[in-house]
Amino acid sequence: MLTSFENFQSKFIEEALDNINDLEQALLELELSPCNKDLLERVFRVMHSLKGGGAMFGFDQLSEFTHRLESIYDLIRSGKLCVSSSLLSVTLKSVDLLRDLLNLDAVDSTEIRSRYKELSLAIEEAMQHEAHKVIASVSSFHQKKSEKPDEHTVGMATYYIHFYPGTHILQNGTNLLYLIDELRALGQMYSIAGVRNLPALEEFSPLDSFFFWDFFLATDQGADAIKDVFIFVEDDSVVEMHKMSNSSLFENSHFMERLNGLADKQNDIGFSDFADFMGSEEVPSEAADSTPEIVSKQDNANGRSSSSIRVSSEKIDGLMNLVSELVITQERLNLIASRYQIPELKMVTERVQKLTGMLRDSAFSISLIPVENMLTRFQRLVRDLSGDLGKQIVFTATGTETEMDKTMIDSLTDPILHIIRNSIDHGIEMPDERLRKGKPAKGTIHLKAGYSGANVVITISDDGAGIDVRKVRQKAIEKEIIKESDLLTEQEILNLVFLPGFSTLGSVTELSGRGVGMDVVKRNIGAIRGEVGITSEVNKGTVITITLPLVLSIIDGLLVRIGQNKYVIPLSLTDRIYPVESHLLENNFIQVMTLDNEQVPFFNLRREMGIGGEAPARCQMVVVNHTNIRMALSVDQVIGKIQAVLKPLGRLYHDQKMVSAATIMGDGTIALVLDVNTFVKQLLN
Amino acid sequence: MSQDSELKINSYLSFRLGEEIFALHVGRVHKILEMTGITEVPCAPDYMKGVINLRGNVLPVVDTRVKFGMSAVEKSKTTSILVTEVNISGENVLVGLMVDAVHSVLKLEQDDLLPPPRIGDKYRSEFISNMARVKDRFYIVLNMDALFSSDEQIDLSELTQIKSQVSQISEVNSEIK
Repeated sequence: MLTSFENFQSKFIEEALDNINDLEQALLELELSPCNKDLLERVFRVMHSLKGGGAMFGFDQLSEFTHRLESIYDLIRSGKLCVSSSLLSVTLKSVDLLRDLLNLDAVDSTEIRSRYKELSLAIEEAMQHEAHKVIASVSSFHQKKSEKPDEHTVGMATYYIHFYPGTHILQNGTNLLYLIDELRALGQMYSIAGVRNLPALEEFSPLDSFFFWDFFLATDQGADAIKDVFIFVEDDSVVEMHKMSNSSLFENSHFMERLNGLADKQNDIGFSDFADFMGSEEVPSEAADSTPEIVSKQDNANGRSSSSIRVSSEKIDGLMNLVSELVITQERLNLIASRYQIPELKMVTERVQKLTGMLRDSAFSISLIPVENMLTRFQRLVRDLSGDLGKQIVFTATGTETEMDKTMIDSLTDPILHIIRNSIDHGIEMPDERLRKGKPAKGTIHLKAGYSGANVVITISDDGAGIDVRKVRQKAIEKEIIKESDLLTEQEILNLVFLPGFSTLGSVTELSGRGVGMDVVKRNIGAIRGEVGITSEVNKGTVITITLPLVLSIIDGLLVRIGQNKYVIPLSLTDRIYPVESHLLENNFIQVMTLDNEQVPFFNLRREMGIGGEAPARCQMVVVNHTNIRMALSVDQVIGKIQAVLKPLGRLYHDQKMVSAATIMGDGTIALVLDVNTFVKQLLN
Repeated sequence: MSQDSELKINSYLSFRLGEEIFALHVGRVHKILEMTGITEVPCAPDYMKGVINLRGNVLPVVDTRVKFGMSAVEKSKTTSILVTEVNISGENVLVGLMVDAVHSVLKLEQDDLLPPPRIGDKYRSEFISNMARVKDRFYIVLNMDALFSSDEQIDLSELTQIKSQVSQISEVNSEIK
């Protein structure tokens, strides 16, 4: 039992981390639109489930702390407080603490304890400080409310609760005694337990539960608090709740007598046995409340569970491998079908091809998550750091729907955090300095993500001070990285910042000078086969470009032949194909060809790739569009469309620039995937 | 293959390149393939012969003769590809090695393995993990990791030179005994 409880704990931690991330994001959004009711509801919902789950799985501090936070947002929700930036700062700091509170081993450390105290105080303070800032318009709304007293806050009441958790409840790892304890904590309670549907001994399964309870609870916490207790079991259980009285019936001696008497005599105590105690005090308007309220609704539960499920990444990897193999096998089927020309076979093959393509796309989309998922941390960093430094910075992002492998996003977050930290600390100037330079006081850090052929490109640009090439050079000479006599281009000098042991700013600041420099960024990105580039202009800003290969990827490609080998050009880049006489390529000095009355630069791939042998009399010019550049690539023959499962060429071909990957075709031979990016770069230089 | 089991198993696969016999620990050899069609990768070093399809994965193939400064492999019936595991800067990768012929599996006891020679050019001798002596015949046990961490071509004549030096020394030693 203990191990399975721990298992549920770890599941809870996983879920809670998601919830906390969601909370953080919602809070950051809330700062931009403080009046958004939906966002507030979202914040509230997350806090609520953290509180409930935390208490249930033994994260008492987490639960308690969330409760404090929740009380602030309850005030905001009811209009007694308004969202302010200082309030959000406290909340965001609290969110960090919540994360740490999930680590049960560290919860009792003095550091966390002191933070806990500090933040609890800050929350109290914020509540009191902000409390008087009630907006006038809200107070009228409030008055209206007070005429009809709020359900949550009414005084003492007695409830009858019938709770039958279902037979399978124990298999979920739910500890029913915890639930009852929680319920008991709400007020004075009398509980009667019973068994139901008890099977014959031979059919009895020790894993099932046959218990049900009848509770009589006198509490001043209101009906919602009771519902909260059952929030995690309501899907499978029958929970019936009736309000019996607006006072504590435990003080009524007749009631107690009856109760004790019934408890001794009969197993099943119903609500009806006490009907006569209700009538006298019952307020007609509360009739709605006393009708049985069955909280569990099966279809409701189904609807919720289908919205998203958790799957281990190993399963996804397994699925991806199978799909890759299917795609390869399918190409093989194509090959056979085209050989035999049987109409029926052809039909089936086409159908299978279509289905494979669809399956591929959906399997692929499972393993990818949008770049958007890592933005919250960046936004948070910009918000917190710029505040600390007294700088005004906005963080914007485009292309956030660009999707990448999850592991890649995970390993990218830290390097990008570092780059952004650099931009905030060294790049963006103080507001007055910016105004002096004729720039808006508010600096901008922009993250742009997008696909470029078989790569994902992420650029992080700021409009700050830029990097002074002379300073970098001076520093490099001081550090004996280069010699005084070395002649370097500006770009070469800029690239020096990626070398180990290089930091341009003389003083080590708290933010970006913790002995970790751009060399670590480069190394971390190199570890996932990415590249980092930097360009910078003094007083204009710095642009850092991260280029990453799309691993695990399957693309639609154009299969072509050059010499003996087959190559794949990503279909998304290809535009048109023109047949051209080969001799036109040979005697062309400016490497430009007129196709359809348009001047297009071209590459003779035979020559570029050093492929020997005789070129055919006619070759095909494949026109590709890549990052707004249009160019043509000459190939011997265009074979057709192919679904290419990209396989890395491996470590030994790391320096290979023209070919980004390989793919295995239906007949088992290999085609190489051309990296159009390389040719673009070559063209631009 | 873990370090432990590599130490326990004392089998070595010997193969021929030109006139020279080399040995590799069997723990490093995953598979022996017949020579198949190799897809050339353009603009790569000469010794990088190309890639082949190994059960749905792409396996780079090295022309070991070129890597060792000999003429390119002349394809013959006995030409084989050894699928071996090498460690390049902390990453285990599979590499296909083209060899002229695969010989046999040798059982080498700890006594048969001589330490890497300290004579000769120190830089070159790091490619040799051991010298092995079986029935008065000497084999060079290659250090694959070092070989593939270097992009250069390695001059085989230097390796064989080291070998003959070692064999001479051990002969002298045994005479003294």
